[in-house]
Amino acid sequence: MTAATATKGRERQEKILRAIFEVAGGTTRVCAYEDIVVQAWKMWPEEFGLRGYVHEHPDSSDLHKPLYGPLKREGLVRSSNKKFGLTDRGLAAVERLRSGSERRLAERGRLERDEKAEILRLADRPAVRMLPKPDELLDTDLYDFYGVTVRTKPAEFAGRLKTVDAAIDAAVQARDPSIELEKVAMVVATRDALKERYAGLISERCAAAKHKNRS
Amino acid sequence: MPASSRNAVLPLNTRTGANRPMPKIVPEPNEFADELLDVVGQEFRFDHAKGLAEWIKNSADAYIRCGVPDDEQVILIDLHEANPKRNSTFRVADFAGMTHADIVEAFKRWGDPRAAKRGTGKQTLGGHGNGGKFYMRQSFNTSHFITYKDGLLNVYGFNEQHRYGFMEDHEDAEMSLADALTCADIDLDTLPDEARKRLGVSGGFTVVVGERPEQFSGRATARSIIEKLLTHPQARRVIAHRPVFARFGKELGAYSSLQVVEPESRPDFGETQIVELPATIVGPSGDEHPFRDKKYPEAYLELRVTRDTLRATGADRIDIAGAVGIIGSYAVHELGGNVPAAAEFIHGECFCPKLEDPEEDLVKNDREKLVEGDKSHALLDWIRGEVTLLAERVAEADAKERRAQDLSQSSAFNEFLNQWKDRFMPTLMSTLFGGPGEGSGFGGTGNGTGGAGENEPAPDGGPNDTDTDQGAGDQGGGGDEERTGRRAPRVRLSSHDADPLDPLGGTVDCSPRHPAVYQRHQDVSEGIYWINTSRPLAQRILTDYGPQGTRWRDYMFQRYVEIILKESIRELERKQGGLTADIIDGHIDDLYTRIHDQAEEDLTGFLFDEKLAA
Repeated sequence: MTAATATKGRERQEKILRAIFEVAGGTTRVCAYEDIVVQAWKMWPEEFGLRGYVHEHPDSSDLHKPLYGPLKREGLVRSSNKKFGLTDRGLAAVERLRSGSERRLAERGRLERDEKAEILRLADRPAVRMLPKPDELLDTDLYDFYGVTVRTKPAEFAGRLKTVDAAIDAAVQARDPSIELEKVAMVVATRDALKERYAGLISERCAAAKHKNRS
Repeated sequence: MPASSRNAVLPLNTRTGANRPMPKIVPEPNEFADELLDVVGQEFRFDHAKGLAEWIKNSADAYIRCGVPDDEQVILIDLHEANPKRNSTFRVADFAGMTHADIVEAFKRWGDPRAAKRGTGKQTLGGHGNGGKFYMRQSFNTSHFITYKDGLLNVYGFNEQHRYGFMEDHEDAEMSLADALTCADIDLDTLPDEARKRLGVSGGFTVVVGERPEQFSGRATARSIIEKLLTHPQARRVIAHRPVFARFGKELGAYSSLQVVEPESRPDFGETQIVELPATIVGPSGDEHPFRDKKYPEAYLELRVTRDTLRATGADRIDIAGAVGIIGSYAVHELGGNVPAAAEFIHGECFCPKLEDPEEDLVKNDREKLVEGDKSHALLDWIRGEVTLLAERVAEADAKERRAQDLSQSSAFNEFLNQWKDRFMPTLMSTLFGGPGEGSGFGGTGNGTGGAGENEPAPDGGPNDTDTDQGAGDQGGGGDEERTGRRAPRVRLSSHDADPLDPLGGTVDCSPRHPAVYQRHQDVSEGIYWINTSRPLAQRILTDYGPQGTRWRDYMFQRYVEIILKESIRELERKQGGLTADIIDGHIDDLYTRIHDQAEEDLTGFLFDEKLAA
């Protein structure tokens, strides 16, 4: 994949996120796939119109792969029964796109709202309390920490991993005064212990997500 | 009195400072009253197994000094039980032999740590040269040894007054081997082949004889002494690696070879646990003590777990081994502090030659215990810690085994519920989510594969939205034809039922922290659920009400309800999407009503009959 193709792909994904944002009224509500297709076409007909009829008909096939693939794996959208919604992280990403602010709050010493909520949730997880005995961490601690279950689908699993890890990394970078640094340190240590202990399980599930998307 | 004169007569110990003169003592040889041996000898009021262990160690050392390999070091033990028992005689023979010089320069000297080596520089089992002698002196009315080497016979022993010396006319007495054997009451015909062969090579022998043994009355028997000898820490190694024969009883028959039998290992702890000793350990007083260094780089603890308790035989102990022999021995309950009860199934050896370092020698005269002190306490505390850890693992395995036995009955109940669920669940799901052809996805077998259909959000067959990692598609799409769906859930009991995914049929052990209903990653695609029998509530019910009681049956039923609910919520989301609290709330009401109605119809006996047998 060339750099130009990658950039184009990224731009398309951002447009899809913005289309979902519009349909959902700036919330995380789930929307019908068809509504998103039509909204994207209305906003960017040249890009999401049916070839030869770009101003008359939308082309639904262009949204399908990004939605199930990278956007889900990145933890930006969630899906269920042909319906899609932005995650908190996806919502924050669109808000940044809309405001034209490339610079994240973390770089300015503060966490995004979704990131802060994530860190506070993580600090309360049973796995964090188990940290003095990392050998006793369970697979269910891993799932609970990342807010998934053993049955979470591979792409969504990968997405949650990305979302949670990004929030933790942002917290480390931001050193947001509204969150105790000790809490952040405990969360980081727990994340590292879980990732070390369940490296095999994580890589297997993330590999399954990539494999499914390719096939 | 003038000041200078007063100074000259001041007692030496009142002077202080750099000018204090060192007293000049002219050394003289030590002198001891014979009674000192009685005082020291109290420590050596042996039980006979311990004393015989000293004698056979002396025999082994005699062979070592002559360069005889271990497997040719024949030792014979005779324990003749007379009537009355007080007239019994104990004998130990080897085929090395001693010279007059050996006796005078080594045996005769008390407390000589070089006695066993006798300048050979070889690693020997003997320590301070006291054990065997004191056993002769303290534990028999009279005792002596008859030794023959290089054509000369010597008899040396202790009389009734515990005084030692050569026997009259038996000091370097010149005689043939045959006469010497007669003198020593050794009958060639009764000797094992190995003994005759060794005698043929060496042409010498030593027989140590104890007559009228102390503390050999009542229920004590020669057999019990031999049995104890076989497990004695000072004797086990010698007997295990050398041809040692014994005959005992009222009539001495043929010799039998003694064999050290290792206690049978517990199958699930079959491997010896070997832990390296830390280079240093901090003792109770806070001092750091070395246990390994450049000169003594090796030190480790070996622990083994046996099938049967060792408490009765006293073999639940840790022997402390020096470079060659055992230098101390501690029953597990003697290690200090409390050890779990399961420690009585543990025995082992701590190899630590550093304890024999002349700079900090912890070896006591009798080699029963180490010299008391901070360093020995540090070592024993560390050993106790390791024994405790292992004992806890043993106790945990026992508890697990008990649980598994308790759950045998539950397994039959579980199978009953599995069958009920298999009958009831397809109907329930089709009622809740539509009939056959609506793709409930339950009740079928095999992984469904995704294809084009209503479940596909796009017509070009892109990525699927599945529950599994194996690329299986959403099962049971809409249409006229019923498709194969996800496997019907199979419910198993943790720590009891065989894992369907384990070719060896092992069980799955859950942590008490795992949820009451648990799935591993690999269980999902196979529809396997585990009822976690380790959960505290499950354990409480099993312990207090038993695996046959209605409370446990009800607990299992509730877990089935939980599994059905989990499956149905997944299905609800797949069918309906966008779940809200209201939708889930309504779904639970509907589902539970149906399950409970069906259970009331089908499971009354199971849930309420106290006397129900599986």
